Amino acid sequence: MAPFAAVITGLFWLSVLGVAAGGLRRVALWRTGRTAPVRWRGLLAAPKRYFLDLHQVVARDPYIARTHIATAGAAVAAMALVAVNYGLALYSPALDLAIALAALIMLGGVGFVWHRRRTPPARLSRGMWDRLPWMLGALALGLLLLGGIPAPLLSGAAGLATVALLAVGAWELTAGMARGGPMKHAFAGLLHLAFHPRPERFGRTSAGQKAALRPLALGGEPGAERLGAGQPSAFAWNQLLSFDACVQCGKCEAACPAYAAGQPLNPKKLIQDLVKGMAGAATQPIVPGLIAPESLWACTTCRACVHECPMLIEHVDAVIDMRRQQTLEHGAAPGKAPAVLANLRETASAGGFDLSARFHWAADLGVAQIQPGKSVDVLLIVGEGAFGMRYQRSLRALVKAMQAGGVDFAVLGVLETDTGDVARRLGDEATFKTLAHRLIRTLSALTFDRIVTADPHILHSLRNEYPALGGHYRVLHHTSLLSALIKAGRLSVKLADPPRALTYHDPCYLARYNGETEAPRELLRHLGFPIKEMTRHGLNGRCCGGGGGAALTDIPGKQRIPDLRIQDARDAGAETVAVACPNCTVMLEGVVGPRPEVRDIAELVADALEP
Amino acid sequence: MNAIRRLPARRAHTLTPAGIKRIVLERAHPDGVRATPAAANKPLRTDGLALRTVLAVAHSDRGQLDAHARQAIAAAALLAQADTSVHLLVFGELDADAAHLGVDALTLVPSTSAPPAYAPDVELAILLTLIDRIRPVHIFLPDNGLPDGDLGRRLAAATRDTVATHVVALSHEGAASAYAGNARMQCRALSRGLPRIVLLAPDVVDERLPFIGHGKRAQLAALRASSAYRDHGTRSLPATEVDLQEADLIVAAGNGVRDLAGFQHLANALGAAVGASRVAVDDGRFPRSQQIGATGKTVSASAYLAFGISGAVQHLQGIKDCRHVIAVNLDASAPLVRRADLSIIDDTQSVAQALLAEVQRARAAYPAQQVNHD
Amino acid sequence: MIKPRIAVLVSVGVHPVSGAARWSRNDALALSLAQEMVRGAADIDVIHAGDPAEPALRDYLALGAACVDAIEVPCGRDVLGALVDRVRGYRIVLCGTRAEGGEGSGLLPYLLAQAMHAPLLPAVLTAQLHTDSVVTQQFLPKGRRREVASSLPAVLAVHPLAPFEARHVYARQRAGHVAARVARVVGAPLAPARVELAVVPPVKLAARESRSGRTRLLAATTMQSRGGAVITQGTAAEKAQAVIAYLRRHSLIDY
Repeated sequence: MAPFAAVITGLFWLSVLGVAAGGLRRVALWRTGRTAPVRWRGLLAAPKRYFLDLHQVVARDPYIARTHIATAGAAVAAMALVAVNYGLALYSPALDLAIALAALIMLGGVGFVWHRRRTPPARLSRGMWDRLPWMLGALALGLLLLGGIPAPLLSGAAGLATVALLAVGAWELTAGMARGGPMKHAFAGLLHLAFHPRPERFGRTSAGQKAALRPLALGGEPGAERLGAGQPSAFAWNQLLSFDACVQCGKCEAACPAYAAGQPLNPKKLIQDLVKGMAGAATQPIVPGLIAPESLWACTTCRACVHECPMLIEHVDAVIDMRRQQTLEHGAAPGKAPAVLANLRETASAGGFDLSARFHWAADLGVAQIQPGKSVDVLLIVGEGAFGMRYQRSLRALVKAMQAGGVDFAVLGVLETDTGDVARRLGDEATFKTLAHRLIRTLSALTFDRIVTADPHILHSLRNEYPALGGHYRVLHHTSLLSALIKAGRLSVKLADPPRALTYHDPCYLARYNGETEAPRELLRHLGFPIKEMTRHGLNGRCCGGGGGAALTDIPGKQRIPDLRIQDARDAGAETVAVACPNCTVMLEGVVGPRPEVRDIAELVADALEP
Repeated sequence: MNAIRRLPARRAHTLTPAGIKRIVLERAHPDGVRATPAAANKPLRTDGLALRTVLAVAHSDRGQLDAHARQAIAAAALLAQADTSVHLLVFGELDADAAHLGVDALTLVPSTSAPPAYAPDVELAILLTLIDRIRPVHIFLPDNGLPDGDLGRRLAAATRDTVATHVVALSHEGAASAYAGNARMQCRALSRGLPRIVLLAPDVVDERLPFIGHGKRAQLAALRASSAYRDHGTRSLPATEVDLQEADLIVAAGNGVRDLAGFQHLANALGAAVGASRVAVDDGRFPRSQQIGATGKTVSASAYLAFGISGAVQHLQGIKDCRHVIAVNLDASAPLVRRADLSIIDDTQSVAQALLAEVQRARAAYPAQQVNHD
Repeated sequence: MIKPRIAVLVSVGVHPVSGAARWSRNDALALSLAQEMVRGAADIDVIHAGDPAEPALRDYLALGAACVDAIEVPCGRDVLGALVDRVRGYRIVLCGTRAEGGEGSGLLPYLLAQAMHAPLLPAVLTAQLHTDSVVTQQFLPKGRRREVASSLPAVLAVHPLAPFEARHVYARQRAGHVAARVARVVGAPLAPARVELAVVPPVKLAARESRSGRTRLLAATTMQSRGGAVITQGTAAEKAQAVIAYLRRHSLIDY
């Protein structure tokens, strides 16, 4: 047995130990987190999740997707072959050739990685990641030399060079991983797929369920209540695992509306700060030492970051966990948030309005209030927007359209109270629960088939978050209802003449949260509007800035988020922006200067009704 | 010949420099009809024998009573019967004629320092002494927080008499106060009969009286008693921190003011808040938040200096609570000149500059004294 | 130094639109002022007289009260006696200026101070506690502020515009508790208030109008001259001096 081969075998087994040690080091860090169930079956599901669910996300950037397949696939293949050939000391030349082939492909992939990093997009992190093409290149070269050059020829300097290259590569995979280097992503990423904190993400559950927040268990022993995450160790261990899987690609940062507006929120930095906290003292307070409070409060909970993340990290869950601790333990929500939360507690409406005034705009429309005992098909829930004069126009249009379509519907009238969505997004689970239980109690005394709402935030709360608290409802967005009515022929509309250049702004809580992008577009097509799509549309749409209580906490930035979205509309050449949410209406109409007209789809439908 | 005298239908008018006809409402008619009878023609409220007394109590500020205080006094005068005399107790000086306030007897308690030190226990002692002497059936005070609302409540606590506070409706039968019950409906709590002590909310009584009182003045020497309260002095917040509606000294810019920076300098030198007329705001020289008038803010400053404001009715509505109005205008026939207590007819810009120089010179000569009581 | 005993009296507030019971904003300012005055050096006793089972009292726990001492006073009875009995021996008693519900007469601080034979400092914005005295900054209209001090014990009525931010914190609410106790002194039953719905605005008390319609119209639309001085002659400097003289004469400026 050539001494050289023995060295490689030794190096191999050393590396195995090293990888194990590095892996255990990472696991130890994750275990500083809160205990949570370990779903071992996830390990079996990991391959499917990698090739199917992950691939769907990664494939959006074909260059790097293919590069990764080449690099990672070849690396895995090469190391498996090394394990067989050198680990088991087979020393077969045929396998050596296979190693060389894999190494060649890997080297090619590394070349593409290096090329990408010559002029990288601004979102990509530099620092330790810049050494990755070199380290992997060293490994690939070493493997190429190992497999390509016959063993007897590998002597002296060449052999030393090969061992050195392989050692460098091995270091990155072992000590590098242990110390939090780039290659930890392979280990953490794979285990993240297996033990993801939201396993429903990979299943057949609805899009809305994948995005629904989980309730906090409140009401136990006062000292023992877990009120969100105030320190890194308060996150679940698999949440810490998810943060560790971050590859700092910055796709979240590029998608984040707050970051684009120059607010102090960078989702990538947020995750990395939590990693730093996990690796440091896990019991240190997160705010303000690791993360500035403004970063937390600038988030609009639009989930663009989650949608873009190739490691499937749930940034919004982390932000909400941290907000929960800040609000429930310190009452630290800034801006108008404390006043709004007080209004919700004291009047069950975010603006502190008189509940009996919610339907004054419908006084002349002959809308029935639901009565206990009398069943209706549709219960129309309008939300806080009904108190605003601008959105009342949209609601009147919706009612007219529903009446023209012969829908059997009623409203809650004075019984309607806030769903508590805003309170929950601001972290005040206690107020959310109070409001939710109140609304569930109200609804349980009434008989209706389904709920229709024009507010996607209400839709998301009632459809996806109330079931965990005991309220199960069929909830439709008004665009779905109107679209169905037109398709069934119950509502006839005339085509727009002349058809104005129009673009549709997807509400985050309807499109990204609940996957409903087609019904509104179908509706607009029925109305004869050709849609000029903005660059970011559909599931990739850009937030208007009105969700997550961000308009209340009002963290200043260089620009305002709705200004960016209106610029998108201008760039698409649209004269009209069709919206489907009261928050979007308010935020986009608040943009000063000449801008496209903002109209709710219901208003467009009502305009097109045959008289 | 028609016996009915026809009043001339055409109003008096002037021509502006631009040649536009402007109707002048404020000019007297050619046949000399006066607007209202002179105050000197009002009759005495009563000249019968006074068997009982009602008492009104108020604090004056630099010799003047504000509208709220005058309303409380009017309440006493209106509710006084023919056999009741109206007594007024004023803490401070009083420049006005007591008779025109509807008051039969006035007792003044001048303060020992300016501004008066906070000594409500001493004032309460004086008040109780007077009450003991004249035994009023009712005591009226304006409910204004400090100083009268405070004194009235101390009186109620000391005497345990029947009392009504924040009274919004008043008559011989009783007083009604606003009441916030558990329902969100507006409610009022009614008293059984008129209480002994009545603390009035603002604008509940119309202070214009069709009669006058006897107006006999008397002075009470301030008690030299020591107070349990030590007044360490009063200071004014800088004008920029104070809301326009709360400001005590206001300079207002009208059409004639073009030099905005200079105007701000004048305001800073005086320590005054800056307001503007509708014309100046519509022109874009000032923000809407600084507009004074019916559609803007209503101000109640002690001194209001108007530069280049003609004084349309809506503007006069905004300044109706201002005590001293000084107008600087080129036009001597501007309506604001009739309203003002001092009018300067000259170019706005030059007077403003001259005033700035004078104020700076005066400040340099007399640095503001820090008033200290112990 | 013996820790000074500080009491804060709290009442149940009412939301102006919904009518729901809630923490009184003014009383919360009194609590915040108490917390600032002591900064942990003394315990603050938060006291309520009324119904201990009222849920709105738990809001004061959320605002930072470790415990709310709720003295049970039956509905319709005077709470003054129970409160006077409870705050005997306290150096400082803080309370709001007006209650949010009911008549809101603002008389309680005065009655309390009278019964305690203690000075009452009203319209307090901020205060500093010393060994034997308290110094308060008092709110005056027209943007003025007055500093008033008195010896202890004293009652401080906090002004509704005091510059404190009250934070409603769930964790504090869970950590605190409301302690119910029975009143040792039960007040006399109060005569029930005669309350009527205010459907129409109140009628202003005014003298009977005896002028003719025409004189009333002219009085409303025309402007009678105030008889003020009009200065037309002189240089701008002289006119400016006239203005300054006027301001000085009426004590509108102090220089």
